[in-house]
Amino acid sequence: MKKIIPHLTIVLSAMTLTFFVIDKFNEYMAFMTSEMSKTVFAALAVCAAITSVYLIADNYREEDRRERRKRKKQKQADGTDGTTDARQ
Amino acid sequence: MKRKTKRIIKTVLLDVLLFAVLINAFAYFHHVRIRSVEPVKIAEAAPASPDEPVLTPVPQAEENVPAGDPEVTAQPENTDPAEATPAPAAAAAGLLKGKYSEKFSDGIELGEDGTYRSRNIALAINTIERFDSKVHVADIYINDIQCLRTAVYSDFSKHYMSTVEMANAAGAIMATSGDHFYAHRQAGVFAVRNGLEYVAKPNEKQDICVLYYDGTMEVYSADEIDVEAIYSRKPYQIWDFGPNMLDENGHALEKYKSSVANVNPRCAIGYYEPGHYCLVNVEGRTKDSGGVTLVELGQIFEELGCASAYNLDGGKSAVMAFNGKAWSKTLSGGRDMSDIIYLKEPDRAEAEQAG
Repeated sequence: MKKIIPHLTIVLSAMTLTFFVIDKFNEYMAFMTSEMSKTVFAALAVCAAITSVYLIADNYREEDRRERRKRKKQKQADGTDGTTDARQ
Repeated sequence: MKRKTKRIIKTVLLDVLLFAVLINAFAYFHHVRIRSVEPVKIAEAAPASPDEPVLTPVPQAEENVPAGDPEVTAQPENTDPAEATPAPAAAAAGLLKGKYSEKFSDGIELGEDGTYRSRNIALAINTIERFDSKVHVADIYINDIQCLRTAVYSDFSKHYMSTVEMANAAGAIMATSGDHFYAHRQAGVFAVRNGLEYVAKPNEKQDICVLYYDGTMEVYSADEIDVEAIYSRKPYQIWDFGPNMLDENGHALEKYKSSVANVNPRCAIGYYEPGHYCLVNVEGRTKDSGGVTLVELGQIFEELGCASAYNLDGGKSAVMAFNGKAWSKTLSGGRDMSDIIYLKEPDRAEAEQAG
C-alpha cells in the first residue's frame, strides 16, 4: 500500500494534467467536467491524501529519530565531560 | 550509484506504463465505447388537418434517376422547382399555408441535378462559389413538419454510421450530417429528435437550436435557455452544437465564440419561415475548396436571407447526401456519425400508399 499509492498519485496527476491540456483545445469532450473525470479527480484526492498522511507520519518519525540521535549525542557528550570532571 | 540509477529508470518506466494503461482505459470508457440511451417521448405531433397534402407516394429512386456520380454531375444553373409546373391543388394547406404552391408537384419529380418535388416537399440543391469554396445550399420547402427529420444511428445499428449509410437506411431523399450529439453528450447536451428526448443536460456553454412542431425554428444562446418554456411549445428537434449564426435582424455576427471558428468544412441549417428552410454544406480542406470561417458562414446565411441559422458539426463530419449518394466531396470518406438531418415523405403518406 505504502509503495503503490505514491505511484498512483503520480499517474493520476499526469492524467489530470493531460485532461487539463486537452480541455483547453476541446472543451466539448468534457475531460474536466464529465462524471468519469470527476472519479479520477476523487481518486487523485484520496491517493494524494493517503500519500500526504504517510509523508507527514514519516516526517514525524524522522524528526523523532533526529531528536533521539541529538539527545543521544548530547548525552554522550555530557557523559564524556562528566568523566573528565571526575578524573579531575 | 549505478544500481540506484537503474532503480529510478525502472520506477519511471513502470509509472509511464501504468499511466498509458489507465489513460487508454479512461479514453475507452469516456468516449470510445458507445453507451445506448433510451429516448423518451416528450411531444406529440400536431394532428394533420384533413386537407394537408400528405398522400404522396414514396419515391422509387432507381426508376426515376439515371445512374451517375453526383459528385461529378453538372450542377444545375437554375434548380428552382417553382418554374414551369402548375401548382398542385393539394398544396393549399400545411406549414406554408398555401404559399409557394407552385413549387410543389402532384406527382414525384426527382432530378439528378439535386431537385425533388412532391405534394409535400420541394427541394433544390444549388451549388455556388463563395470565399473560394464550394457551397451546397439545399433550399427546402415542406408542407408537413414530419418531412424534415433526424435519424439516430441506434435506429439502425450498434455503431455510428456514415451520413450516406444512415441516409439510405432511413430512406432519405437528401440528408446532411447533424450535430453528432452522442459523441459529446458527456459534456452535457440537449438532444431531441423527432419529438423524442435523448439527452436533456444543457451544459450552459453552447447555443441550442430548436425546431418546433409548428415549423418555427429558434436559436437560443447558452445563457438564455429556458427548458420549461421550450418544452411548453412542443419541440420537434433540438440540436446542440452551434454557435448561433445570425443576430435578431438576420445579420452575420462580427465574431463567434467557438474553438473551431477558423477555416473549415461546414454543415449548418438555416430558417426563413415555417416550412421554408435550408441546409448548407461547405466543402473544405481540398485544393478547389478550402472551407470557410464561421464569420464567412454567417455572411453566407445573411446573403441567403435567413431569419436564423445554426452551425452544425463540420470538419470531416460535414457531408451532404442526395438520392442515396454523397453530393458533397467527403474528406477521407467522412466520419461515422451518430445522427443526420434528412428529408422524407411523411409516414402517413407511406402508410396510405402501403394500405
